[in-house]
Amino acid sequence: MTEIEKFGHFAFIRHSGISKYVEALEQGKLTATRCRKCGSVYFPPRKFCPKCLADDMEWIEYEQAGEGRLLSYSILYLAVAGFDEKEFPAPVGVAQFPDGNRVYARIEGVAPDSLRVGMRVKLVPKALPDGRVTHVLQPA
Amino acid sequence: MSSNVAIVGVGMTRFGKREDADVKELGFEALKAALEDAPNVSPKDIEMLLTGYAWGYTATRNPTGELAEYAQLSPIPGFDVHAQCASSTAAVITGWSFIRSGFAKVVAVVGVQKMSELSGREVQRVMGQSADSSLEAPLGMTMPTAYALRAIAYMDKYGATEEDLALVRVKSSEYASRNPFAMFRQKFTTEDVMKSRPISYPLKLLDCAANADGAAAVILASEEVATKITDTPVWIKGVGLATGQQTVRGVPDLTTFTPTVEATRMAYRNAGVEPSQVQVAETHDCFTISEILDYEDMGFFPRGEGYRAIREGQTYVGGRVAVNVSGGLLGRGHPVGATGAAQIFAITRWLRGDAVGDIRVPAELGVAYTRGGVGTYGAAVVLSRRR
Ligand SMILES: [Zn+2]
Repeated sequence: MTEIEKFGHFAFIRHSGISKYVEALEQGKLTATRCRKCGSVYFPPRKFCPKCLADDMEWIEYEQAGEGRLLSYSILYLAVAGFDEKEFPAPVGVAQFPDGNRVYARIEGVAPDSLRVGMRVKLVPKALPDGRVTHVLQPA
Repeated sequence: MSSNVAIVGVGMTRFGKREDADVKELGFEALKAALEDAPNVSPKDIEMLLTGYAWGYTATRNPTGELAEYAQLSPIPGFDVHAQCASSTAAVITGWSFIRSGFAKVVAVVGVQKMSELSGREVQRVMGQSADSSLEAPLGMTMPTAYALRAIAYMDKYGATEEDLALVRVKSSEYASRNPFAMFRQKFTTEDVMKSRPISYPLKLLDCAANADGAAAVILASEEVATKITDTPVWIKGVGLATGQQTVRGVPDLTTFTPTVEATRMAYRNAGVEPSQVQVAETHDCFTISEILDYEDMGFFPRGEGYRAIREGQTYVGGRVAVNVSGGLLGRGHPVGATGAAQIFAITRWLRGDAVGDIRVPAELGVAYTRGGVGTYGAAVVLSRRR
């Protein structure tokens, strides 16, 4: 498996310019990229800077700078590639951090009927079986 | 000198599971119907063939080439136009542009898809690929989930309920029951929708449009040709295209689809019309929530009032604006590449004063809007009886 193939529950691609993100997840760290030319910080990380077109990125540890908020959520019931129906119902959501960055992830540690828009969440790295790795949202 | 462009013929196949035909045969069936509908246009008059088709959903890789050979149209120019679910609307806009430029006078556009060829496992993979492939699809993001996230954000912000979403399917099924081209002919109640099995909360099976097989075709002609061959041309008054987001994390506001807002705004502007003048619309109701967001994004109802419009029946024939009264994607079935051409088929017939099944909509101005991907592409066409 390439690094990016280890991300999540099922791989759709084999190569990526942000494979280091997955390497860092394996070490229990969340990372972002910072453009060495214009200073913009990207989370999730990007290989290229769309603001100044530079491709000179520095990998930094991502600080969530306080709690994230759940912007929306859903609960998966439909089997898709790489998922076992035994995992369902599986809560997922989109969260926004105080710096404005957003992420989509599975949600752990919340009963499906307790999910609410606006609830406080944090993103944490998580190891999955078979050498895979992911990030999950947990109650903050 | 750029020419006005008219629709001079439309045709479509029945949508649903079509085990009696492959992609080129479905495409031919729709093309044949459009040619029979177009007075005084024969196959030899077609100067260009464009196919709206979403690669990946079917084994056929070269639908335009296969159809050109099968219909004995080769060697005329042609190629596939791909913008996911918006493919054939984008193909009609491509054909419009070739006629406007003077490159061709008569262009045939065929939207076609045959989704029943894929196994369940293959469909699951394709569905997974419809989301951001690096960081979101691997976590189980699918088309229904992308729209479910929109639904929760909308319901939370404005107070709409799951029953409001269900009302969209009730309307669709009412009209689909009267449309012989539709996949689902049975009528559903709010209770039927509420009791259908969960897919991605709050969306249930009957909140979702179904994969289907089918084709639809549109014959486009320059003003010079159209005015000679038909008394009932339907004019393309304005077109609009936009891109949005492939990632859910990149969507600025989950209660609106920017490609819908931008593509329809561009089309209205090019047509010189206001959304308040639109009398009939076919929109991208791939899920019930989509239609409610379309009401607002297309300018028919103010922000936060789309769900009231369906509660009040404002989008039935006879209401403020008739929306998806063909049955829409929900009732007609959604053979991805064929959907846009099927929308244009319905609006063209209504503007000419013809029926779809027994559905008639008195109207002079209509709009077809198709959205591709998870809010990735938008394509809109404003149609009018008046040049
Ligand atoms: Zn930069």
